[in-house]
Amino acid sequence: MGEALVEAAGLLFAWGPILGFLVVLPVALLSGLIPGGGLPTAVVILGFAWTLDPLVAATMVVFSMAASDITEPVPSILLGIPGSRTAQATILDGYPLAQQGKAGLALGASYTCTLIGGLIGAAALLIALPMARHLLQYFGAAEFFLLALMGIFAVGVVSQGAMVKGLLTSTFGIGIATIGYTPVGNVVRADMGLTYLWEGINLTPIIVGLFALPELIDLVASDTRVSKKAGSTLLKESRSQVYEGMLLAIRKHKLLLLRSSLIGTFVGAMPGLGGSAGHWISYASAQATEKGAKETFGRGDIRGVIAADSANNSSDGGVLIPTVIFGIPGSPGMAILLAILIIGGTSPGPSMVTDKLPFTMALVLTLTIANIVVVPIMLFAAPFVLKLASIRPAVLAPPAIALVTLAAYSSNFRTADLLVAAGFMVLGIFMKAYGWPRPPILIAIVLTPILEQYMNIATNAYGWSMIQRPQFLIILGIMVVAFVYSAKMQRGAGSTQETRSEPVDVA
Amino acid sequence: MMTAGTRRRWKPWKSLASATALTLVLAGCGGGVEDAEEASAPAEDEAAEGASEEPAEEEADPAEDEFDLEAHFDGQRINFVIGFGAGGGYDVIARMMLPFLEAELPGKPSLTVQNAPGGGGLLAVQEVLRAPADGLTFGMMPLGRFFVPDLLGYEIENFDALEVFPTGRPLGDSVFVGCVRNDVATSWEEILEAGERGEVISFAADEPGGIERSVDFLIAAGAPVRMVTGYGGTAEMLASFGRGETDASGRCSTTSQFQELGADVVADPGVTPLWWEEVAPDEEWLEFLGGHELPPELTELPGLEISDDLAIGYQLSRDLSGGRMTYIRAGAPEPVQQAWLDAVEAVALNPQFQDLLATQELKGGYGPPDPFMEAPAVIEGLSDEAVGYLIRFLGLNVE
Repeated sequence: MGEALVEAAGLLFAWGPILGFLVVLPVALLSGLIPGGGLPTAVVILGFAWTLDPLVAATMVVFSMAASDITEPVPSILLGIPGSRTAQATILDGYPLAQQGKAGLALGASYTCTLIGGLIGAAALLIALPMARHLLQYFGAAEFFLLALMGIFAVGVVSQGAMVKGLLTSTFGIGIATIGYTPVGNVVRADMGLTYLWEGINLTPIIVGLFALPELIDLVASDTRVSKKAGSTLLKESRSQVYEGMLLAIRKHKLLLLRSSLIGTFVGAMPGLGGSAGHWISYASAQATEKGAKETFGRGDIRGVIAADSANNSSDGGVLIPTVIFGIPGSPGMAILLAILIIGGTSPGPSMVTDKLPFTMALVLTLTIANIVVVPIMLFAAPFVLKLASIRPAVLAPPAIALVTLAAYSSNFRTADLLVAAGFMVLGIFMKAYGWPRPPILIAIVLTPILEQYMNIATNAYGWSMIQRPQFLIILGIMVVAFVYSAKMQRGAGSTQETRSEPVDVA
Repeated sequence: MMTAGTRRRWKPWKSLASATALTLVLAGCGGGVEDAEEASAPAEDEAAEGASEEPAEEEADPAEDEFDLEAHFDGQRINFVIGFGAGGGYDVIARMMLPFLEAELPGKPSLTVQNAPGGGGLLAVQEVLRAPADGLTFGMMPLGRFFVPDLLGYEIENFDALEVFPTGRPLGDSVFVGCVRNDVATSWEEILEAGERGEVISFAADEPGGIERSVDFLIAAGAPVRMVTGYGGTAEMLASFGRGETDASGRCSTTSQFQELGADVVADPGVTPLWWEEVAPDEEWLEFLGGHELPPELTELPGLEISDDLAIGYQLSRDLSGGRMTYIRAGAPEPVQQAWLDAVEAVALNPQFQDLLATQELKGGYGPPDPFMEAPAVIEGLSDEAVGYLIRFLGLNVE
C-alpha cells in the first residue's frame, strides 16, 4: 500500500496532471458557484478523453467534481438555493444564518467541514480499498432499499413541527418522481401524452423553480438584502466570523463533524445509492441526536451546516469505491469517470486494488489535493463572496435570475424545462408564503427512483427472506431506534423550517 | 403622479423586468432541439421541394455517379445525434467513431456528437428525421424500439419507420453465455429437476428485452427460470450475481469486464455455462469459466417447448433489436446513402477501431442494415402469436 501511494504521488506530480488541475480549477469553482447547477465540466473533459492521457483525464474529472462540491454550499448559504446534487440540506440552516448576518460563520464552518470531511472520505477510501470489495458484497438490494428509505425518513425530521405538511409535500415529490419510464420496465407513467415527460422531470428546473426563483423574487419584492446587516459591518465582521466558524467546526463540534463524515462516506460507498442520500441522512441524524437540535435546527444552527457539509464532501470518497471496484457509478460525474477509465483501457474491478492500485491511489490523492487547494482559496475569498449577502436586490436579482434560468435551460436545452421552472416557481412562492416545507419535495424526487428500483429488486430477489439477513436487520434496527427517538423528540417541536423565526445562538 | 414612494415601489419590479428580458435574450442565443426544429422547418420545405423536383432532376441528369460527393461533404459539420447522455455506452462508441468516420467520408467533413436524451431515445430520432434529407445529420440508437412498433401499426409521435435509412451497425455479434453459480446448480439438467420440485432459478436483468431476451425466451419455452429486473447495467447485474443475490446470469460474456467483475464468483463457488447465443465461446473462455465443455446453443437446450411462432419471434427479435444501429433520414441522394453505408462498414471493419471497441468490451464486426430493409415485408407475414413474441422479446411497451 505504501509503495503504491508513493508511486501514485509520483504519477500525480507531473506536468500533465498539474496542468490539468490548473485548467479545470477556475471552471470547477465557477460551476459550483452558479446557483441551481453548473457547467458540465466532466462532459467537456470526456470530449477530450481520447487525446488525453487516461490518468490526466480521470484525475481532472475527480478534481473538478471535488472542487465544485466545495463551492456548491455558497449559493445554498448566501441565496438559499440548493445545489443540484449536493449542498441541499445546507440551506436549512446556512441560509437562516446568512439572514442573521452570520454568513461568514456558516461559510467558515462549511469550508472547514468540506475540507475535513473530504480528507476523512479520502482516508476512509484508502483504508477500505483492499477490503472494500469483500465488505460491499454483504450489502445487497435489500440494504440499499432500506438506506434509501432512511433518506426518505429524513422528511419527518426536517419537517419538525409540520409533520403532516412535510409528509404531504414529500408525497407530492414522490408523485413527481414517478413520472416517466419505470425503473424496472419499458412502461411510461403519467406522461399525459407528452414525449418530454418520458424521461421524467429534470431536477435542475425543479430546484430553480422551487427554491431559487422564489427566494430571489422575495428579495426583490421586499426590497431587502439577504443579510440584515449593512455591507460595511458584514465586511468588517467577515474574517472574524469565518475564523469563528472554522473553530466551531474543529473544536466544539468535532465529534459531529467526524460522525457526519463517516455517514457520508458509508452511504456514498453503497453501489447505486450515490451521495444524494448521505447528507440528508447525516442532517437528520444530527437533528435527532444533538442536544436541543429539535428546537434550533432550521433556524440557523451551525450544527446543521456542519452535519450536512461534512457528509457532502466525504461522500466523494465513498462514491469512488463502487465506481472503480464494481463499475457502478454513484453519480453522473462518476459515470463519466467510468467512461474515461474504460476508454483509457482500464476496466473497473478487483485489479483496481491490485495491479492498478497506484492509479486508484492517484484518484484518492486527487481528492485530497482538491480539498487542500480549493478550501484555502475559498476561505481567502470568503469576505468578497460574503458581499453577495449585502448587495441590493435590484443589483443582485437580475443577473442571479438570469443565471439560474440559464441553468434550468442548459440541463437539457429544452424550452419545456423553463415552463417547468416557472410552474414550480409559482408553487414555491405559495409554499414559502404559507409555511409549507419545500425540502421534502427535493428529498422525495432524488430518492424515490432509487427506492423504487431497489424495492423491486429486493422483493423479487429475496421476497420475505430479506428480513432474515443480519445486515438488513441491523440497518432496520438503527432506523427503528432513530425513528422512535425522533418521534419522542417531535412533541413540542417549534415552528416549521420556512418561517424566518428569531435567530438561535448555538455557536 | 409618480411620488418618491411610488418610484421606490416600482424599482424592484423594474429589476424583475430587466432580469426577465436579459434571460430571454440569453436563452434565445442558445441552441437546442427546438432550434433544430425551427431550422429544419424551412429545410423540410426545401427537402419536399427537392423531392418533388427529383424526378425532373433524374430526367435531366440520370447519371448519379456525376453527383459530387466530395463537394457535398466538404467543409460540412455533421451532427452525430445520440439519444442518450454523455458517458453512456452509445455516447462513448459514437465518440470513438468520429475520427474514423471523418477519414472514411468523402470530402472529410467534421463530425460532432450531440447528446439529445429524452423519450427513451425518441427525441434524438425525431431530430434526425426533422433534419433535411441530405445525409448531413447522422444518428445511432436502438432502432428496434421504435421501428418495429411503427411497422406493427402503433402510432409513435413524429416517427415513421419508412423515413429512416439504416446505415449499418459498427459492431459484431457479442458472445453471450448464460451461466449459473455452482452452489445453485451444475448443469441444465439439475435446473430442470429443480423446476420439477417447484424451484425456479433467478437471472438478473436491467429491463425486459435487450440482452435478457434469452432468459425471456426460456421463460416462454417453459423453463424453470425467472428474471429479476431493475438492475442498472451489466456491472450491477454481475455484482448481484457475485454476491448470490441472483442465481444465474445471461451476461457471462467473453469480455474483460466479466473477467474483472466475475472473477470472484468464477473462483468461488464457480460457475457452469448453460448455453450460448449467436456466437459460440472459444475454448479459452470455457477454460476461464472452469474448464467446461461447450454447452448447447440456446434454442438447443433440452426440455424446452419451442413452437414455430416462438422460434420466429425470437429470431426476428435478434435481427431487429437494432442495437447501436446508425442511420440517416431517408430521401438523401443515393450516392450519399451509399457513402454512409460504405463508411460505416469500413469503420466497423477497421482493426484500429476494433481495438478501441475491445476497450469497451465490445466485439468488432459489421452488422448490415438488411434486416431493417426487409422488415416491412417480413412483419406483414407474421402470425399474431409471433408478433406477440416479437414485441415481448424486444421489450416493447405496446399492446
